[in-house]
Amino acid sequence: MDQETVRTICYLARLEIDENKSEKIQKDLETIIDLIGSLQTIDTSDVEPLYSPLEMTALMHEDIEKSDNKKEKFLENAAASNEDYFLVPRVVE
Amino acid sequence: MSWETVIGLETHVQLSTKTKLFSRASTAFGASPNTNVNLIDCGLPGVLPSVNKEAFYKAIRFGMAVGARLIKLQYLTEKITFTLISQRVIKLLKWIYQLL
Amino acid sequence: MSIQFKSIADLREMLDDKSISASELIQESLELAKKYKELNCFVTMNEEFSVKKANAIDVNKKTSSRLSGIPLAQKDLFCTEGLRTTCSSKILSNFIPPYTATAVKKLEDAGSITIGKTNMDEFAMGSSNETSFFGNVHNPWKKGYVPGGSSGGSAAAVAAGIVPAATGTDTGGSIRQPAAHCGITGLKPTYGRISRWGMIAFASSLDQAGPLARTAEDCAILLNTMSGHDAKDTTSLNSNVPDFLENINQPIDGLKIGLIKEFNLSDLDSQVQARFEESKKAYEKLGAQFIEVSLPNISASVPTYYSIAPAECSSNLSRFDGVRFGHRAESTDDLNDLYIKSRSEGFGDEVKRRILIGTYALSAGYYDAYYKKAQQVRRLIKNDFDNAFQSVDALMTPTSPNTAFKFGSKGTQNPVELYLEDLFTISSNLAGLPAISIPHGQVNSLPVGLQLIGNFLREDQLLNAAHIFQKNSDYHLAKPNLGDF
Repeated sequence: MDQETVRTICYLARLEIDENKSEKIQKDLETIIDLIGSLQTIDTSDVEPLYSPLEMTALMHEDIEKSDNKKEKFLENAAASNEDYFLVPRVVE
Repeated sequence: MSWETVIGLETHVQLSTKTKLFSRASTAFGASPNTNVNLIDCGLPGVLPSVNKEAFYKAIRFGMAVGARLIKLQYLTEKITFTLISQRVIKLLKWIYQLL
Repeated sequence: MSIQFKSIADLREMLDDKSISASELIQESLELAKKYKELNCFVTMNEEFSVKKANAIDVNKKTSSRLSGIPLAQKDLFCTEGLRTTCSSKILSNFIPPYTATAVKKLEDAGSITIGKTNMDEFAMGSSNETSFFGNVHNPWKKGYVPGGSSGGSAAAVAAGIVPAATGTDTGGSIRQPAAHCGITGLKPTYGRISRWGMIAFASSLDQAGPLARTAEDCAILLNTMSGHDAKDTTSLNSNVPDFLENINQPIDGLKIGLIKEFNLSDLDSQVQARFEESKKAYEKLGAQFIEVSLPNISASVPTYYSIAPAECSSNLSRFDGVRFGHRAESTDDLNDLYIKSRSEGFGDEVKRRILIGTYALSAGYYDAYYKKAQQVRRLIKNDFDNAFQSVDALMTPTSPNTAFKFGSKGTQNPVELYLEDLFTISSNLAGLPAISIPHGQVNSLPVGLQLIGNFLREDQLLNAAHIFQKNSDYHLAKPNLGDF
């Protein structure tokens, strides 16, 4: 893993790493990737991945409306909002 | 070198359901902004979406109508994007259609 | 009579025979929390509401539920309506949830009183409670030592006798390991047993809520209330919830306990190993039989976990963008800049590290090699357990390879060093199996935990085996000397 890869992953994850920490992070990531990479020695041909311990069909909701009615509470939790909207920096010029 | 042209179409179709794909909030037009938003739609920490059964059936019906093949799917991972409206988590879902 | 170190069963008796009122009980519990503030167990107290609720219970006088008037602490990743919920992260340091998690709601509906929210590793990512934005939690047994993690505040609050029980969550050992390090009992139920609605997600296919308490019996009381199907959690199990107290007292004659061949216990600290041998003998005396079983893929648990958990975490934590809730960075150029700055300021180093690993494991070109590969190995591990449970009722291991360690002594140079702390606990999360940790003595005055892993949905068997052990020993009654706090 090189610094360029670290920068790409950081961008994909929308994270910024302090310049002075970036070498340490790169080293840490390498160590962890090495750990995960050790799985390559295990033969998993014809093994179905297990994405959840419960292999059951997830329940679905009926198409019947139910409103939580929490608009005000939602907006209260936002760092910037007005009566109706969450406010963010201008997106469209 | 000879090239073969293959064109894929991604279609976005709004389904005529009463509620949203991942929550029971209304899909009706005309309410003031952010009214038809449930805890799930707001993407709050700790919420878990569930799939709208009707939307699911409609999707299957559409797939069959255009001659698609039904395949078994272990799970559906919804991509989380950094936008105001979307939040998605890993969902378990067994059947979904695939266009041939 | 002091309520400190009392079990739920004890407190119930005191409330029922009127030797204490609910208000007095809550008042005392709140005072203990203040007295031991230095332990740093709590992030947020719920004093006003607690006192009000206790008064209402005293006026009402109807105590149909075992939990009525009992003080509890909730790990600060359960959303509590109107009460700040931080996940011990800067990014949620101002978050007031507009709803309550199902597990907490069930406990509160049964009359229990949430006195506060407990400190934890940030977003439950850690094994020592050292990643909290709100500072380290001390182990009540020794100042300056970790309580374990991630449910470290909950474990310390119970161990210090402030509350008889607390909630925790367990993604790779986060209930069992702190329970072991603090000398209390902690249960991770079967995946799907307790609803995850309102529990702030770390790794959705591994996370499970559960109780931390002084006894297995109290864990059963909490589990009875917390369990059950919830339509709001589509992976919540729709199966019968037994009364976990009903068979807790059955003799365990003939119980078949498996010892995992691949875990070479002679590598462990000799005293931790000696404790294990001693408890094995104790179980034999109680009628259990020991059988060696082989789980050939179990040693791959740690790398499997550290591929899956970060991948799911990177997905779950992308909702924290500073827009709708949580910390928002000031003076940002545009929306993208707002996301990047808010997240970078809001998350701590360990959380960032895991998000980056997960992003990498899920990124184009690496998905098959890391994420899919890990899920395949995960099935092999689950198959190993299925095979083992053909011949045994439960598996026994130490909970943790070590006792509690000093602040800052592990994982600072190499994060993997700390990941190996979870060696014995991780596999049951991967397979979705229930597991319990009970105290079984001390090494150098620090508690040691014993783990029992059960078959799918067999919490009853684990609680039974743990209760019988506790009935015939007094390790669970040991109390820390809190003189330093």
